[in-house]
Amino acid sequence: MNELSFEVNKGDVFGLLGPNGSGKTTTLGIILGVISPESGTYSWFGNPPDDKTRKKIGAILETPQFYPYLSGLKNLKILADIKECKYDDIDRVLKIVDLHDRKNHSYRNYSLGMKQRLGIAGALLCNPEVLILDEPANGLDPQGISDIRKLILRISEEGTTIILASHLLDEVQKTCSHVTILDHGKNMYNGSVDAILSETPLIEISSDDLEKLFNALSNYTKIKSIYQEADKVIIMLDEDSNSADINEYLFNNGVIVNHLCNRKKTLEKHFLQILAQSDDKTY
Amino acid sequence: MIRLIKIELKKILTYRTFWVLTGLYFLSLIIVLGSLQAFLDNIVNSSEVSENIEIPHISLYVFPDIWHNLTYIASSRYSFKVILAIIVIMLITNEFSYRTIRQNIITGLSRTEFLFAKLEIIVLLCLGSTLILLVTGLSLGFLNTSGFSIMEISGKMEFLIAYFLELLVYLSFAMFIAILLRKAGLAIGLLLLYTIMEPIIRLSFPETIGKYLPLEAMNNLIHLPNTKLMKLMGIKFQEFIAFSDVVVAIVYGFIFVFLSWILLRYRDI
Repeated sequence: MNELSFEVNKGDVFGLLGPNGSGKTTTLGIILGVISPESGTYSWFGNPPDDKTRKKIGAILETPQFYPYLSGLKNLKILADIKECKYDDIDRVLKIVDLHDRKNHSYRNYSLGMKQRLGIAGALLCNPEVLILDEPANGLDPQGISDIRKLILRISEEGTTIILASHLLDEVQKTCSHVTILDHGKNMYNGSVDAILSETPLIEISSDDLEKLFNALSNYTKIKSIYQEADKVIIMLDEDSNSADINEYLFNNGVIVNHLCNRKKTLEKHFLQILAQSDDKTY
Repeated sequence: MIRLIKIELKKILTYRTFWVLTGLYFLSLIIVLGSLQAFLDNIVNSSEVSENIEIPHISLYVFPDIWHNLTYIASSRYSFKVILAIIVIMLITNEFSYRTIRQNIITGLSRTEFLFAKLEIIVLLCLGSTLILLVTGLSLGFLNTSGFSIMEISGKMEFLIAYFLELLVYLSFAMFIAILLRKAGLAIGLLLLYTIMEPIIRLSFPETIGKYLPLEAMNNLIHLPNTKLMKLMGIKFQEFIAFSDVVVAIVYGFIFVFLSWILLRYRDI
């Protein structure tokens, strides 16, 4: 870790983004009290860290760790005992992750997806105030990933704060309200997801005659930037112009387009851009 | 406290390996203790000395000496205790191997609570073992003594308490090794190696220091018991439990628990 600093507010869905090895799990390990930092501090709910605060937090770190010779149900009972809460909640969380039928089977007989889901169930147990999920979609099939996404959105609506570590940018984009991007332990970006996505969108245009298209666009005055990419031309418009204007302009200049669409700035682009910047700096 | 033991019990009550090993321990303990007399008689009868001299029949199971005899055998450093130590090591290193200790701590258990929970299991094991010894002793004693009074029966029962203490300190030692090395194979290996090496190490120290080495100190609580046989052979024996031995053992107990706590507290999990 390299001088990392961030703050999570109540009700946020906070994403920790970064390539493998960037320090996401280490960061989560530090705030959960299992890894000691060489320097620096953290606080929970405004107070310095205390063993009791972890009872209000539900977490998975890396892969879920359970006793293989015990059933899913027994494992969750042990977690409930540690959190000092009743067993009534166990059925509820098992149903949420769709493991209720397999609750009495040995953990060692679970498939990878089931193990992950039990981990999530354990984190959800007893309605924690903060949920920390390290790569929750790990090992899940597309249906499972979609279910987790819906679950995260639903829980955050109920007021739970969620800290999510992931390298699935698409998922983070769909669920998180704020994001910190890590690379080699350094904080490359910290801000709200909306801020990233609301940047002026790009427009991609294609035509059978690319050269004619490119020339016509170059003469259009309300363009901020223009470049060619494979078989498309990408332009960024001024604020007071839109794709309808471009369409009209091109038609009037004899250019017939076969492809015109707004390209929303995605987290992925932003992310790769930031990583590219950091690579430039290191070289 | 109660919460901790409930958690630990949940972890092991359906763990088959635990029951197999524990069952093995208790069964072998009872069987060996029960057959001691026959074993001794066998030696006496088959030695040539008995043909010439009238060797008095020595009964190991007479109250009150039975307590001393039984606890001496049960606490022998090369036998039964080791099985219990292996059980303790296994229970603790499992938590590291499966990384469930990490899940426990993330969920809300503090590192100190974790240590206490394991200690509570150790205490339970010691209590169980002492209880077995008590029951075995009473049964064998009643079978083999005629005419007894309360005084006689409970005469040397302090050896049972010494046994409990010795086992407790020994298993704390095992716990410390388990937390230190975190892997079952290494921990058991170190335990066995040290058990064998300690007498040898002891030889290189003057007697005054040597008798304070951990295993020796623990074992010292219960020495060779006094029997007329031993008197015949002129071997030194122990009549009572020395207070200094008790103190040394307790100090070792605290040291092992404290070192375990330090290791747990300051290492990354």
